[in-house]
Amino acid sequence: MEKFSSEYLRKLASDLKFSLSDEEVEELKKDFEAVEQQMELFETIDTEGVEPMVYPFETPTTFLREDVEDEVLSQEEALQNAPEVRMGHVHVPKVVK
Amino acid sequence: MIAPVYKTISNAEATANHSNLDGLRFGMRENGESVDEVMTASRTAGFSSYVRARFLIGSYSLFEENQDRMFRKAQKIRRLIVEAYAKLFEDADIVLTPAAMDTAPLMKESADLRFGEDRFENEHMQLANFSGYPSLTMPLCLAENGLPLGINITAKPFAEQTMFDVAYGLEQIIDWKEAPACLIK
Amino acid sequence: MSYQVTIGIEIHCELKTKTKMFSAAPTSFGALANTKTSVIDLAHPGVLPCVNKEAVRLAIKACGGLHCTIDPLVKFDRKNYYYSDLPKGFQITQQFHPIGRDGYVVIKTDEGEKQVRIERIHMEEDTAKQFHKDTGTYIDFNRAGTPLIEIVSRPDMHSAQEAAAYVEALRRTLFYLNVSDVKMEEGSMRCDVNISLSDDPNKLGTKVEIKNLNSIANVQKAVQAEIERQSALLDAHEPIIQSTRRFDEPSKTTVLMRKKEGNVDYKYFPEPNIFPIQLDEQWIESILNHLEELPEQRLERFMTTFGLNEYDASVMVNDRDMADFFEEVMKDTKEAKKAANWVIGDLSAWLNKNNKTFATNPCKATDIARLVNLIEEGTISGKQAKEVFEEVMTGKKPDDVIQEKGMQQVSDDSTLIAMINEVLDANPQSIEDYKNGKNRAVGFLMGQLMKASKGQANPKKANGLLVEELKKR
Repeated sequence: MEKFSSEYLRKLASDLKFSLSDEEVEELKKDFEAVEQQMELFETIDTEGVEPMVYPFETPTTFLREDVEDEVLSQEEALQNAPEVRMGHVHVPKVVK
Repeated sequence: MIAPVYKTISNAEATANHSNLDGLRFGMRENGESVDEVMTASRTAGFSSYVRARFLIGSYSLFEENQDRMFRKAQKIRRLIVEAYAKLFEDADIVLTPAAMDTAPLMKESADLRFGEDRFENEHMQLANFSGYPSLTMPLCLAENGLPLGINITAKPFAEQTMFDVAYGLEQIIDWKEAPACLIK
Repeated sequence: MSYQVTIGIEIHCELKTKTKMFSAAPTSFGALANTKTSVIDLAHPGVLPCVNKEAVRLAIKACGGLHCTIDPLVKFDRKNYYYSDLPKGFQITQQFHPIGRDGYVVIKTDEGEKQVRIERIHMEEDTAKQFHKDTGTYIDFNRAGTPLIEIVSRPDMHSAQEAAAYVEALRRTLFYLNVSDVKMEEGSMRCDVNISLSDDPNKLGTKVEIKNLNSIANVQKAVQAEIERQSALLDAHEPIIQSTRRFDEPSKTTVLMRKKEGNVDYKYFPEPNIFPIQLDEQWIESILNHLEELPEQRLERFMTTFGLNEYDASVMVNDRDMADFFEEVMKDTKEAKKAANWVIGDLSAWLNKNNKTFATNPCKATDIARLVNLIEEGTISGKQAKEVFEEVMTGKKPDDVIQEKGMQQVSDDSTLIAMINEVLDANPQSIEDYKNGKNRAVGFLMGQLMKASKGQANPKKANGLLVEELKKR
């Protein structure tokens, strides 16, 4: 059974809130195989005792922002880019949850 | 090794970084009967095939059962790479490299290099992403085909001034438009 | 059959900061929709979070008051999922490095005192608010980005009463610490309860989650209802389905909201846009050394300094505003027990009747103190004081009321003696009765005196002087 089935890939995509065409699904199967190969390559590198590097610089910062109001948008500014606005709210079709 | 490590980390981060593009508060919105449909339609239309592929791989590498061998493993290898790179700077203030081995491909020649072969000569620029060292690329000269070739100048952490000084100095002594074709082929 | 009940509670509490967790837009409640947002809260492309110092300070206070060990390295993580109220498509939280761990809170139950352990406290940001109509959903981003602390208990509670007591103790502590308004009805404190039942003491049953509880009373009712529901199912050998439920007040039962769909993978990873922040140890120390007095400390102090009994002290400590008022009153009087009686009794009753609380109390502490002192001095009797109190609650000063109504007790010796002698002159038979050993006569004469003085003779004093005058006759 293939590790990356069409179903699996479509579910993965749907969890990320987009869909795939049949062509795209086929391309992706190849992509995922290539990625798995890369992972095998990874495994050849010994990382025993090595911490993941999350940030380029590791000295912790001490900076914290003072609790002072600033940068607030007017209602108009906040909503001006929204595709659909009703009663001062961003309006979307009913959430199904 | 650099490219797979880079791609693993950047794809994972990018998936999350682009989660705000959902069609609700700004940007393109496609219609749908429910919020879910709107988000899905908008994101499908708004992201190209290649981008969606990268998101899928990025997301896959972040799953709890995969993170250790994929995302976190890549981050560990990143550390090893940066440590090796840092050694270069023990004896030097500046590292110079060609920015790329060739001139830029023409539009009609270029194709999405999807997860295929990686070559160090093309991927070394990502070292700056990994290390965070100050890095500057400037034109060096013209190749035989009349397109420019670039040179990359990288300095130690927080030594931006040195980087700028060297770049400025080079700029004074090289006129990249007038220089004869480079020796690099 | 009775089952082993295991309860764990997660509480989300909005911190009382001026601005959001990661942006400088103002926090608010009840403001016009989408007027308290910044581009960061709306998750516009390219924006970066900036950590709020005051949120961290309040989180540290909460950790202190709840006896947690504090991690001086602040790290954030991303919790990834898509929802219309989550602008970034991820929430910035502290999954791997909560700011506080291993704390506890003490609760009182019928069986005595008990510690409920707190597993962790971490900082995160709130989502936007939305409301649903048939036509669609309306989203207001004012709340998006508000600083939250999430407090996770260990599953140490085993009854509805313990669950409610835990939430109450936590709420009280957080309120005393001034870190949050903790108004469940406004959503500044939210409570999710996890319950499982089991007939095997070594195994936990299936966990059911109850959400959207908007008062402590409902926490208790909901937990009780759920225990009953699950017990009935287990009695009938039916399975408990892992699900999320809400409490339906009218039917006093829990109602299914949605079934739990397996385990969601939130793909937690460290937030790349926020560097780890090293907190200054001295700063943390100074915050912990300057915490507000905690409820349990105040209780102790009320009992030792004011000599109150545990019941009176508890009643006041449970309502911080009441306790604050009481202490104000005590600045102007020494009569702690009497002051406590007025505060817990007449004043509380009046506030209740008039739909007010100690936070909206119209009466001044100095007036109650004066009332107490006037009774103590003997200027008015306890009974008269109740009348005066009613007038004081309309805004008058106690002394003015007494003047107006001519209520001053007569306590002056010479005046009393004059009145006494008048009464004695009018009642020679009683004098005879007294001489013949009938002490009842004193009572009768006191009655006459009170009548003659229109109830204003200071009873204690008058009695003493009456007996003296009687002896002279």
